[in-house]
Amino acid sequence: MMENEYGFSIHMAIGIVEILVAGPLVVRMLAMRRLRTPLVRRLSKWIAGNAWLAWLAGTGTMWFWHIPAVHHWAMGMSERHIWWMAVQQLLLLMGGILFSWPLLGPCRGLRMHPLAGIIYLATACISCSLMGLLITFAPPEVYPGVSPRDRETAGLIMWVPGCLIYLTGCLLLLRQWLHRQDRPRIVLPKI
Amino acid sequence: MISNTTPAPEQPIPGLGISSPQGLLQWISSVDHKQIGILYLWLSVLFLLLGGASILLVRTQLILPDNHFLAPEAYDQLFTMHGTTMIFFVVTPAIFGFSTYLVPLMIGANDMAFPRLNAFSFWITFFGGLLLYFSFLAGGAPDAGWFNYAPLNEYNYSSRPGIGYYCAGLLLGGTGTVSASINLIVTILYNRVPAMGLRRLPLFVWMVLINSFLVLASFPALNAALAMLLLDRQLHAHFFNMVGGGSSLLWQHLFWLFGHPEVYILILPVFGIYSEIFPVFSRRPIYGYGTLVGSGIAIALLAFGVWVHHMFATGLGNTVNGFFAASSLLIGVPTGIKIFNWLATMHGGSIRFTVPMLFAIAFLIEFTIGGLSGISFAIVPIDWQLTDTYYVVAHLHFVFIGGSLFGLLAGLFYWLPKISGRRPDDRLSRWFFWSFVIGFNLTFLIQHALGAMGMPRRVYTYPDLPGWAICNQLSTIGGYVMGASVILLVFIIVKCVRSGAPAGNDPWDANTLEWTTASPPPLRNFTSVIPVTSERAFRDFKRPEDAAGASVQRQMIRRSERNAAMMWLLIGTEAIFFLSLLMAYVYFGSNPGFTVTPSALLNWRSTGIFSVLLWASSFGYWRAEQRFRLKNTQLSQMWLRVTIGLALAFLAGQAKEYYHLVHEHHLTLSSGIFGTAFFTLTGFHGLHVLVGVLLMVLLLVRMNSKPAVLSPQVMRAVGIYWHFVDAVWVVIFSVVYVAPHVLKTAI
Repeated sequence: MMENEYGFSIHMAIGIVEILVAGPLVVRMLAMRRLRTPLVRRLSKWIAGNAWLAWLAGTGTMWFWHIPAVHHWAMGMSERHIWWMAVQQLLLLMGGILFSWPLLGPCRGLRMHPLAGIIYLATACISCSLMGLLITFAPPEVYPGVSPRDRETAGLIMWVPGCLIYLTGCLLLLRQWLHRQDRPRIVLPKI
Repeated sequence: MISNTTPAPEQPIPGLGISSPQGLLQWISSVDHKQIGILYLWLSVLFLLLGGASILLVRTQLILPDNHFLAPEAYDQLFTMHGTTMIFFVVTPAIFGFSTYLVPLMIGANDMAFPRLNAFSFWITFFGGLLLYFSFLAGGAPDAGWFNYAPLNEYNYSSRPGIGYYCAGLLLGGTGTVSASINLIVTILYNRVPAMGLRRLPLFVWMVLINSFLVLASFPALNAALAMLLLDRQLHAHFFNMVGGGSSLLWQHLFWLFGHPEVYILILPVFGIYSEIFPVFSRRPIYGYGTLVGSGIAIALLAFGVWVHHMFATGLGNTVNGFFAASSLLIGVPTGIKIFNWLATMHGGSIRFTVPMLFAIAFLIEFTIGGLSGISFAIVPIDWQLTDTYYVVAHLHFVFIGGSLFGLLAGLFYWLPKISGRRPDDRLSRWFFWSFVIGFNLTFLIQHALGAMGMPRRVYTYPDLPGWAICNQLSTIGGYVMGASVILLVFIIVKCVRSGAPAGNDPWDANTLEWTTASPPPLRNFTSVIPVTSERAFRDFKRPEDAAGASVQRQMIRRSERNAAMMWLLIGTEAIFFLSLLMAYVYFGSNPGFTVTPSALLNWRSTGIFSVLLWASSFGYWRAEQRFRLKNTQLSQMWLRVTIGLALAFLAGQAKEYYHLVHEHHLTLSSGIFGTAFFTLTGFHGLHVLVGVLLMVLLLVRMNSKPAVLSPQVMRAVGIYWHFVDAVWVVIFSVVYVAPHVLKTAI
C-alpha cells in the first residue's frame, strides 16, 4: 500500500509540523489579531481550567494515529477517499491548536504560567519520545508494508527533531518569563 | 577582608564532638539540614578514599605489561567497585551534601521542607553504600563494570552474589537520591523568603532545581532495570536472558535512559557552583543569568534525546546512528554557552586567584578538553574505532574529574569557611591544587594516546607493545600523585576544622544570603533576612549605591500546598517507573513476541469486574476527603473503610487470578518471557495498591486517635497517590487485558 520508500516518514514529518508548528502558529495568529470574542474568552477560560485535557489532545493525537491498527485503517481510508486526507490533516491541526492554546491563547490573562508551560512541554516531550522510541524499535510485522528504514526514520523524526521543537518552545517560554514586567514595586528605603 | 580581630567561631550546638556519646547521638539523630549536609560530605570523602584505593591497585597492576599483581577476577571487581563507588557514592552524595547544606541558606529558609525525609535520604544512601561494600565479605564484589551490561550481569555469567549487592545498594542509594530531590524541589518552591522570586534565585539553587527534576525523570528507569535484574537473578525471570526470550539490549536501553541523564545530574549542580564562584572572585555580576538558566534546562531536556549514542556499537543501524550523532553534537551548544558566559564574567573583572577560583579556572580548561573529546564521539565511525578503549576512559575522567570533581573541590574551598567557621590553610591548599591538577593530567591526558593506539579498557593486562608500557607507567605515577594529594586534602580539611584561623561571616565579600548569617550558621539559620533585591542580594545590601532602583517584591507562597506538591512529584517519578515496566512488556510482546497468546490466558471480563471495584474506590476516597473537609469525621471514616474494602477486594481478585494462572496454566515468573513481564508489571501495581491500603489504614488510625492533628493537606496527598494507583491500572488493564482481546495479538 505504500510504494514510496519514505511514505511513513513523510506522513510523520507532516504530522509533527501540523501539531507542533502549524497549530501553535494558528493560535499565535489568533492572539495577534486580538481575537477576544466572548466565545473565545469562554473557550480560553475552560481550557485554562482543564489544561491537562489540552495536553492530552496534543499527545493523544500523536499516539492515536500511530497505533498500528489505526494507522493501517487510516492509510486504507486515504487510499480510497481523497477527502479523508483533508479530514485527517484537519484533525491533526485541531490537536495542535488545542495543545498550544493554554500557552499562546488570545487571552493573555488566561495563559499558563511560563514555568508551568515548561513542565507542560517537557512532559509532552517525554511522551512523544516514548512513542518515537516504540516506533523506531518496533518489529517489522507491526507496520506491514513499511520498510524498516522508513519506520525507523519515522520514529526518529518523532523522537529527536520532535524533542527539539519542544525544547525550543521551552526556551521561548523561559525568555518570555525572564523579560516579563515585574508587578508592583516597593522601592527600598535607603539604608 | 580578614582581620586579626575576627572572633573565634561559635559552634551552633555545644558538645558536637563525636568523642562524647552525646555528640555521636546528636549526629545520628539529627534532622538539621546543615548536619545532614556535613554527613553527606563526609560520606563522600570516606567513599572517595575507598574508591581511590581500589583504582590505585588497578593502576599498580597496569604498571608493567603481562603483570600478575592482580588476578583477572580481582581486577574486574576492583574497577567495577571504583566506577560504581565514584559515581553513586562519591560525586552524588557530595552534590546532595552541598545542595542540602546550602539550598535552605541561600533561599533564606531555616530548614528543608521535610527535615525527617532529609535524614531518611541520607541514611538510606549511607546504608546503600555499606551494602555495596558488604559484597566483599559476602563472597565477591560486583564484577561487570559500573554499567553492568547484560548478559554479564546474569546469574549464568556471574554467579557470585556481588551483582545482587550492586542492585540492592544502588536501589537504596537511588531511593535516597529521589527522595532528596523531591525534598529539594519542594523546599526551593515553597520555603523561599517571600521576597525571593524565582528570577532572583541564586544560580546554584536554579541548577539544583533543574537537576532535581532530571533525577525524578531518570532514576525510575534505573530502578526498574535493577528490579528486573534482581528478579532475573533471584527468581529466574527472563528479562535480560536471551535463552528465555528476553533481551540483553533492553538492559542497555534502560541503563542509558538513566545513565546519560545521570552524567548531567553529576554536572548541572556543579555548573551552579561555578556560577557562584566566577562572579565573586571576578568581582563582576554574572554574565547572562537568563542564558545560564536556559542552557541548564536545554541540557536537561537534551539528555533524553541523546542516550542512544552510548549504543552506537550495538548495531542499531545507520538511520538510528545518524539521528543520534546529530543530536549528540547539539549538546555542545548549551554547554558552550555556559563556558562563554563564565569567560565573559571574568572578562574585565578584577580577578582574585584564590583556591576556589584556581579550581574554577582549571575546570574551564580541562572540561573543554573533555567536552571536545566527547564531541568527537558523536561522530559514529570515530566512536566505532575508539569505543571501549582508554580514549573513553580519558574522556569520561576529564568530564567527571575536570568537570564535576574540580567544581566540588572549588565549592569545598569556597564554603568550608562557612561550614566550619574556619579557614583552610592557604599554602597547603595551593599545594593540593597544583599536585592534584598535575597528577590528574599526568594520569589521563596520556590515556587519549593509549586509546588511540588501541588499548582496550577493562582488560586486566596488556602485551608489551611499543609505547604502551611507558604510557601506562606515566599514567600510574599520575594516579599515585592524585592519591597522595587526596590524603593531603583530608589533612587540610581536618586541620581546618580543628584549628583553622577564624573566618568571619563573609570572608570572600560574597553575594548570596548564606554569607549574611554566622559561620558556622546557628541552629536556626536566620532570625531576619535582608531584603532580596536581585540574585546577589547581599552585595546590594553591602553596596546600596550600586543597587540603584533595586526593589523588593513580595510573592505569594502557599506553604500549605507542600504535601500535595511532594505527592505530585512522587507520582511523577512513579509514573516513569511504571512506563519503563510497561515499555518492557510491550517490547517483549512484539520483539520477538510472546510464546503464549495473552488473550487465551487472560480473562478480561473477570479481571474487569474487580478492576471496576478498584476504580470505584477512587470515588470512595473522594467522598471521604470531602466529608473530612466538612469536618464530618464519622462519615469520612465510613468512606475510608469502604475504600479500603474495595481495594482489598481488588487484591483478592488479583490473588485469585494469580492462583488460577499458576495452577491451571503453569504460568510463573520463570516459565517464559510473558510470565516474567506480566507478573512484574501487575505485581508492582499490586504492591502499590498495598502501600495505598496501608496509608489509608494509617489515616484511619490517625482520625480515631487525634482527628484535630490530621490536616486536610495530608488527606489530599494520600488521595493524589490513590487516584494515581487507580489511573495506572486503567493503562495496564487496557494494554495487558483489553488490547490483546481487541487486536487478537499482543501489542
